[in-house]
Amino acid sequence: MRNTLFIPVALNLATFIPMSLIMLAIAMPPTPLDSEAFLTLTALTHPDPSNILPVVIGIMNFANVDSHRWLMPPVRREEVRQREEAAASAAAATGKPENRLQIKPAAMWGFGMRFLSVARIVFAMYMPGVRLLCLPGL
Amino acid sequence: MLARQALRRNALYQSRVLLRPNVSRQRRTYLTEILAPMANQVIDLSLALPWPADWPPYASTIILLALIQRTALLPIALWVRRRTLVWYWERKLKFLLVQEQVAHHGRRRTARAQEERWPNQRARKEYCTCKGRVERSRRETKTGGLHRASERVASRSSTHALIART
Repeated sequence: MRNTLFIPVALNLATFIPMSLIMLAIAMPPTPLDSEAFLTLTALTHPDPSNILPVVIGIMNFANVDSHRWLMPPVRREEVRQREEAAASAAAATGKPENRLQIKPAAMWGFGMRFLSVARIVFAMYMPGVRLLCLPGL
Repeated sequence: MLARQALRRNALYQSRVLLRPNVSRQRRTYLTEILAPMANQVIDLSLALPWPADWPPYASTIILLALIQRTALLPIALWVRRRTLVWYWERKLKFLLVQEQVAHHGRRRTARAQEERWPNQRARKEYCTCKGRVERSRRETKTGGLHRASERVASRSSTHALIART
């Protein structure tokens, strides 16, 4: 069952990587995409000079990461809340902060994904416009 | 002779570069050779599609392709989500059952005992919710969301047709 979780990721990568490569091949000169502007892009083969699209993509990625929590079923959300409350009350009962290192996979995953969505803005600033058009919603 | 051949090839290459000043600086590799025709096909497709005159054809085609890619993968993502939910609720159900068995180990399974199985009403409610969710999720995964949606649409259209006929 755990393997099922990797099916969407694998399929997304299997379609995303070839598509990205094709877009990079399209952007190689000589190309007719040089003459086309779109939104804030002056040409589809050049990076966005105003950096508006990269920032928008970063925000969309951030929302994508956080929407996991927004779209959580109410029962599951209640469960998470109860678990957090129990942890907080346990910490309050001892009266002192715990010194031992606590590994929280969910928190680590969330932090990692948020960091990546911010880092992606920097990468997107240097990408050609064609690639930017494929990125949102990933 | 080999040296002369090499010189000749070099000269030919240089002349071709001189003839085509806009030639790509990218190194010719196996991958680029595969990708170049695909890229040309995408460009041809964007010219062939009947976009309105004021729409940018290349950008519109690229956005359309990205949308098609995401839409094609959506049913699989929904199917996986449902399967994961079944897994999650089943695990929780198992956990609750084990808890209950530990609390009432060795009790007879009479009607009275069944009534008293859940002294904690909250746990009982949780167990019922879990069981219902497992059954519902299993049912939905078996039939498939898309089939159900199409059935719903079909039944709705048949109802409309019936109303129109009467």
